[in-house]
Amino acid sequence: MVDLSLWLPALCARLNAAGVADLVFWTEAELYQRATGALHSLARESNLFCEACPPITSAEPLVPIPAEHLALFLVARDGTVLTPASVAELEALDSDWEETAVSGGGSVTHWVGDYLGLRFLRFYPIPATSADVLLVRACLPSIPTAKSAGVAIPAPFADYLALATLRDARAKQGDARMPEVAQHIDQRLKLYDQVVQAYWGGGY
Amino acid sequence: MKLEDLRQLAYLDLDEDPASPRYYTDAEVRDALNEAERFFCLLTLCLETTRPFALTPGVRFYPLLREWHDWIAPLRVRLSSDVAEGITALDDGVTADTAMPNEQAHPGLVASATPKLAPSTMSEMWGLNSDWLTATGYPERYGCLGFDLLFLDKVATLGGVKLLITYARSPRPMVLDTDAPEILEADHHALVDGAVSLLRMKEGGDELAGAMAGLGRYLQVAAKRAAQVRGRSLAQRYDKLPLELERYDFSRLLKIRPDLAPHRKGVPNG
Repeated sequence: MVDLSLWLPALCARLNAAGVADLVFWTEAELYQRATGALHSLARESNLFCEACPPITSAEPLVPIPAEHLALFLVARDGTVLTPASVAELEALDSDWEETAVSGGGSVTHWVGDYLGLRFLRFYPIPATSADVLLVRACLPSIPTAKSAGVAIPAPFADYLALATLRDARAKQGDARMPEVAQHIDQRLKLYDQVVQAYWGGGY
Repeated sequence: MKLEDLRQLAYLDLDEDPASPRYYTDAEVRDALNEAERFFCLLTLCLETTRPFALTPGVRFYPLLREWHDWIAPLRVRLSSDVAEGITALDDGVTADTAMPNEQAHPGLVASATPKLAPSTMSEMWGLNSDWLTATGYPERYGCLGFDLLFLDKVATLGGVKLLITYARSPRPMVLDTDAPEILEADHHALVDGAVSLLRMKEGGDELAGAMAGLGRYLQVAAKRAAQVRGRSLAQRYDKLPLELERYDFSRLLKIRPDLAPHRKGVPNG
């Protein structure tokens, strides 16, 4: 865990302030909000924050997906990895797929991610009994605030968040605007993006 | 070089009197030097360490950043031939092999004949064994999702099975004047160049533009070190290689406001 509050003094210095109390054109809360925006952008673009959710026990064909969800890598039911499928594929497989239930010792074989928008996943066929459902997914990390500034990222990426915050602060319209600094930082962040692609873009 | 020496050089590059700097504080310069070293290590993966990691029976997924705060990326994962129980992943490398109270041989554990784990995706594990999520035994493959979610193709059923994980790590921050950067001494001067380009951000304009030559030198040193580390990593069959910096186009990074027309001699500004 990296404590983002430790990065604040250096960030304030680059904003020509002696500390958070000395900030004129920005507030501490605003800096954390901008850091959160950069963190979410990092998470969204490259699926860098992954977790194996604690198994949930469910007999329902529909499972709600939490709001911080980004992408699913694996769905398993009772230890069996399910095959991902789209609604179109299941319609081609079984015209009555929405009503088909597990029968004759069979089991759930597929999960559907494009059924009822982005907030649900659905099993096919409809399960007969409850079972442990395991989701391995990419998600948004917890939002850093002044009171809880810990984020599970490698230390160099705390610098990435500080730079992105500085870029946004210097691009903001006002007397403290420095477009050339914002533009320079933007190019630095693109180098970080290349690093992300090289180290974490390979799929494992 | 020590932090104190690096800071003095940075002050000189910033046109400050090291004895009584006016526009920068010691803490600012120290933070910038630490940031430059962290980025150097991210670009080159030049710092690595190997630590034992005790597997929990029945557990397949492990978020490693919660265990090791200096984690960047896995380089090699192998099974430990140590069949004693009780060594847990400790933060301090010096005490990592300290005997724990319950450190004794586990009767069911034997050393694996194929200790190195192959990097794999979930799809590959599924392709090799459709029941991999329930497979037990000594793991043969591992994967890593996102920054740090390590997963294994088989879960241990006995306590005491340990992995030896070699990973690229970030450096320990310099705090005291006598602290030295962890990267090779030959690259210490590049840290000053990298730090000055960061410090000049608070001024912007011509001062920042003047620091771009130093940033260019810093990146050149990083590129050369990354190429050397890449060669070593290929020879060692590591699972991650440093970024090929020599292929990266730095021209936009090293030019301030490339959208503005270049200044011509004899033409007054404005």
